[in-house]
Amino acid sequence: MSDRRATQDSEAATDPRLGLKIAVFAALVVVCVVAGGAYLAHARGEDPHNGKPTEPVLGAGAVDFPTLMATPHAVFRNTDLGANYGKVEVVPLSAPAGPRAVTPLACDRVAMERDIGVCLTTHQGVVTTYTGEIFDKDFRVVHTFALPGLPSRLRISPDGKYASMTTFVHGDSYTSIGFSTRTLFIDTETSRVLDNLESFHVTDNGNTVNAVSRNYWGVTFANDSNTFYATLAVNGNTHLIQGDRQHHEAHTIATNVECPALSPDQVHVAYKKRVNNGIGAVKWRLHVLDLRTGSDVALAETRSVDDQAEWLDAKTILYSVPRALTSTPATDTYSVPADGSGTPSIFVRGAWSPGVDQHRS
Amino acid sequence: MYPSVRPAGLLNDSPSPPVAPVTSGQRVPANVVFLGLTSMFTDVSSEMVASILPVYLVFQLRFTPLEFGLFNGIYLAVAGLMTVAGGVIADRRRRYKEVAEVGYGISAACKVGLLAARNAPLPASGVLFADRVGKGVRSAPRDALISLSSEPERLGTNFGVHRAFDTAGAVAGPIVAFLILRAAPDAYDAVFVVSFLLALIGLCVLVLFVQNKRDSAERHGVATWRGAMRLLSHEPFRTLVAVGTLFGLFTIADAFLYLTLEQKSSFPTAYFPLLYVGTAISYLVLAIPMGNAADRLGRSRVFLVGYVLLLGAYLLLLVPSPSRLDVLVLLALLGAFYACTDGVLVAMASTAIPREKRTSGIAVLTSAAAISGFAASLGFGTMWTWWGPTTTVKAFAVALTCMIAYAAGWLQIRTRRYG
Repeated sequence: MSDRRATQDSEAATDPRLGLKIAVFAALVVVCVVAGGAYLAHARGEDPHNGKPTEPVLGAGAVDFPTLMATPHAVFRNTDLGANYGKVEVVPLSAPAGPRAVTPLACDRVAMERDIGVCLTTHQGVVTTYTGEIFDKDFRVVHTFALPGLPSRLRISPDGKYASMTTFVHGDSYTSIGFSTRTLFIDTETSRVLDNLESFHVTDNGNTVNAVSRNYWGVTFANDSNTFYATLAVNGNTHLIQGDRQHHEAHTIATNVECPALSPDQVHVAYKKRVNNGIGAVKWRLHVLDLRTGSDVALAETRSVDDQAEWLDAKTILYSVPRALTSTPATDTYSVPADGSGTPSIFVRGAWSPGVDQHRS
Repeated sequence: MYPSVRPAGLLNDSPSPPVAPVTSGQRVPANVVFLGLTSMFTDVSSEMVASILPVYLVFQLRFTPLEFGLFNGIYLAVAGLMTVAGGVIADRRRRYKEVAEVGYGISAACKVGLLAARNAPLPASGVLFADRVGKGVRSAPRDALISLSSEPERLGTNFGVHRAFDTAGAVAGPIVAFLILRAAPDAYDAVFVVSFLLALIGLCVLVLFVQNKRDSAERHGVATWRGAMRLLSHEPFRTLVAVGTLFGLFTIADAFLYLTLEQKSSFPTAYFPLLYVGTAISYLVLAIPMGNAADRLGRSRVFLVGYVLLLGAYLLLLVPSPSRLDVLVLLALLGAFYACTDGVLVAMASTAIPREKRTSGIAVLTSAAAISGFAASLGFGTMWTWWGPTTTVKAFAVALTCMIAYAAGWLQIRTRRYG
């Protein structure tokens, strides 16, 4: 290198201001190093995991954990800053705004059904990897499995035997920042991948859908744990599909339905409906569709909701939205009546990915 | 208008006397080294952001990934027009350096834009598009400066040196991002701040140390849009644009190669980024030797060898279940393909475009290749739907083979028409 510079470019060597330029450059580098270092030090202090928990935490003796798990409860990811940021927490449905039990698990997405839980996690690295974990009623990890991409939607079948998750895979589209989805079914007993929804035979009005650009996401299971509903996106449109997991087939039943959530009575689907299609931020409104009559109501929540809803009971749904006007990753979980009446209200503060266990037998 | 000149006539524009036969390791112009450093810092800056972008957008901005299908043909066409416009402006006033500065400046500003997207409803996709426009605007004047700073017989090597710096930055970027996030977990804002500072350092290397190449002798009129397009009526530039565009049609995008690989082997999708890194390392190692070989053995020959290596990569994709070794060889071939073609094509173009239209000519060539590459991706996607991956790759391999044979004739590889 040095001899190259020495033998090189007479113009640079004769630049009368070269000394000044080197001084300016050196000063700039020093400023950048100091500024970058200072910001990094500041960022370390701002680590959301640092500091005191901002919410009351159930002490070991305050409420009996097995008792909590045996009564109707909700599990969720805590997004309030503090030592428990990212942890899975549990509240009783009788007092969702009250103290929470903190579990040792940290997940981006969490779901639980019949004492079997699934936790999806991102591991940031030179190569970022994603894993899923299956855990038991004591929140102990039983199985770990690799995920193909960024965790998004997650549901467990009512019998607890199957889980379905949607992940966003990046890097395999026309551009390097394009995404596509992979929606998988796994066996919760072994953590084996049973099926990839991409391989199902899917029809739209009798025609087989085989475009390479089709994407599926947001599975919701029916009570038989085999019938499922999900979203199919193809050629710029989204469709609600109804499928049969064992027979590897599905067909479209409605359009402009994303992230369906099947109601406890099995005949309503809460979903997010895309309300603008132009350039700019996409907005979704929460709607409920009656599968028998096709009638469709917009819910009282007027903000854009990008989440798969969860039915709290036959009349109420839960969903999470980012906390307004903050620069933190905090989100709050709201409840709203499923018939379009009423107003949204906060169900659990600082919660994401809520999952309800009613302990119906 | 400029006469239809032979390459020797076009290249007789260097103020320095003809140099003695080159030996490797000598005479890399300071401008090339400084432009390389600018690109290296900028690429560390860009790639560190790119490596965290998916997670940042989805988990921090709660962005919906499918919004990203936005980079469609319209965006590509707009970016292509901006590239040519930047080229014409750079040529008209010989302000290569200033136009490059604007392009690098836009990219630096976009890092701040992404940081702001966290607090304001600034559309992140708009910022990403601006970043792409910045990349389009800066590339042609930068390559024009490299070519104008080079002795004609060293063009391949000098472009190789620049591309090696550039690729080194691309490899380092994700590692820097990882180190920052390990020091300060979830501090995505720190990644953007460091990225911006690195882009700023790169920009300052350009502003302070790169010499603009403005010779006093005004020649052959003023560069215009029409002038840039009129270049297409002149041999041997037209042939080169045709060859570059047609090759683009038969080149499978990296992402699709990796996708095909993923479908055929048990390679975990999460390791997709490692495939890019493997290709980049191969490119980094081979860029200078291949550039040098192009200067000594004939640029169009090395250029065609690059496509033969790409053909080899296609054939490896047809192996029923590729082993780890197959994957490594494929990545090495892909990197070697870039080393033989990317900088070498611009070096060839530099011999075929008159000095006063250097930037707009390079812009036309690279934009045409980018658009045909997009068309190839659409075609590949459609064929994949109907025929599946194996038949599609076979079809591309056959088309590429024919194209190599034809191109050998069009480029007149025996005559060393492009140096």
